[in-house]
Amino acid sequence: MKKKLYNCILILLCAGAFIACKRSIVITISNPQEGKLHATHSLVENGEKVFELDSVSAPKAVYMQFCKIGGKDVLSFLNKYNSSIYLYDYNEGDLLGIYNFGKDIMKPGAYYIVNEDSVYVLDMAKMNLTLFNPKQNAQTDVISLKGKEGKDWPIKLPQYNLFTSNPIIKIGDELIMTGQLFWSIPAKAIQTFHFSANIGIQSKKLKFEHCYPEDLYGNDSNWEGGHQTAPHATVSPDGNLVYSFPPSHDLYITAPHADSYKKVYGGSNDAGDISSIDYQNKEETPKDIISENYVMQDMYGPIIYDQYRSVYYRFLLKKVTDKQKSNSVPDKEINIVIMDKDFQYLGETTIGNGKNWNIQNAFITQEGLNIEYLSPENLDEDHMVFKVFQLK
Amino acid sequence: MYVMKKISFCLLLFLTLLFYSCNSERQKEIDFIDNVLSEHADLSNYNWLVIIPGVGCNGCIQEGEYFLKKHVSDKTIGFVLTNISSLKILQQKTGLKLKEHENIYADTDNAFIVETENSIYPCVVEIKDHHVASLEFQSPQTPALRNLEETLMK
Repeated sequence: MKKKLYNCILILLCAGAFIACKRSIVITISNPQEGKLHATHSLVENGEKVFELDSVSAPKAVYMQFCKIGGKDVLSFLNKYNSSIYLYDYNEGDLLGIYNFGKDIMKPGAYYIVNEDSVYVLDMAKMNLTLFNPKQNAQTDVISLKGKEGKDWPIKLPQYNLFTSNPIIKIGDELIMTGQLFWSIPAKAIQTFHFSANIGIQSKKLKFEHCYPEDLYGNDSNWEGGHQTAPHATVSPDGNLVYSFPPSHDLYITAPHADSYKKVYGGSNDAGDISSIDYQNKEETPKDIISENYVMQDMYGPIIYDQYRSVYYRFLLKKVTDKQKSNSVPDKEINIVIMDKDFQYLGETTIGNGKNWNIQNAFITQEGLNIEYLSPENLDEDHMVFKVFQLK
Repeated sequence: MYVMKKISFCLLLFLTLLFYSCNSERQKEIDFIDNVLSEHADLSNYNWLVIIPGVGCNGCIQEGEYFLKKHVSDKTIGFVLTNISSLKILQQKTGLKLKEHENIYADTDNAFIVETENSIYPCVVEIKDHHVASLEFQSPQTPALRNLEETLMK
């Protein structure tokens, strides 16, 4: 009798442990201003820029930089296929030149053009920042991003998914790269894991800074998948870093070497509550649950400061309400929240969804906010198109 | 003796649960592809479907692209290119003009991306009577494309 009872309890325990997805600590972030904000401004599409591509380059370039070289407004992009940076005259649309890295850089992921002699290139394969001299067609310096960590550096140091609207940032004599952990932040690492890399251009010193805010990512909360733990950064006019975390209606402001944040509201009038994933065994969270958490909720994206108009643009990827299996990130409608330099709400504009707009390729020029437009007619992929939005 | 029985019982229970777990994941993938195929009836006429993602396990995807180049003229196989970053670059890499091959389908809606950890691998789908009979992923552990080649050679 005792044996039977023992077996029954054992079966119940095993089955219970296997079947039940135990509830985790769920963090819910409310939007105190939902439906209460008043818009005075909006963004209006006004003109486009078209750049003709050669036979080995395609739209949706993985990284771009708008900068001035030799007095010209230059739009550059990274071609991963042939390991090159293409440079275009932004105003005329002409190809000005190509920087080819050859075999010096195994897997370029991002770059920062300082001038015609100096380009810092993030090599994702070697995990270093290489200083490349296009004129000499040679690398002149290498800074390792692995720090002093051993083989387990990917779980101790940030990894980088940089793009045009979350770029390598230069403040003074330092380059800042905003990285991330690609899974939930363990409670024991919330005050020790730094997601941002700060590299001294002259000193070559590497320092990791800025922790995930505990109110968003603490308590061993489940934010699996990589999207939800991706901070996006821009620079304020006074040289501070402004971080946009996907689940937060607030913005987190800090100085490059500071270890605390000033929090300001920077949310959307349309965004609702955002919750972490309700699944205890984080490492085993099914992909469809992770995807649903990101797609079926409002989530914030990049933030860009417009120095010509003294406003911030913060992207919101709105929740998909139609519960279809095929719903994915590109199905999310995109809002652009506009704030003044003091983060006061000015308004917001819906531009469409990710099937037509690539917000990873968004940047500021004197004309306005440029966003890559994915034209359904561009089947031959022979052009890269940007729509220019103006503040009204 | 009683302890041995207890251990055997626990082991059996563990293996049963493990089998159930793996099987349910595979069944979920089969049901998913079967459901997508019902909306792409023309693709269910092939004996095999090879689904190649554009993003994921680099080496596995390269094997998929090589397989595509080698077997594109085999009309029993339909090729589905999903999660594509650029068809133009894919054409450069494979040397194929995709429009010239009726058995290549560009899944621009990303309908064929399975929502499991296996979405990063090329997938070989066996079709019988317009439904998925079985599927296998080309991963570092499972040589699905080589298995298909061997089957085709028989």
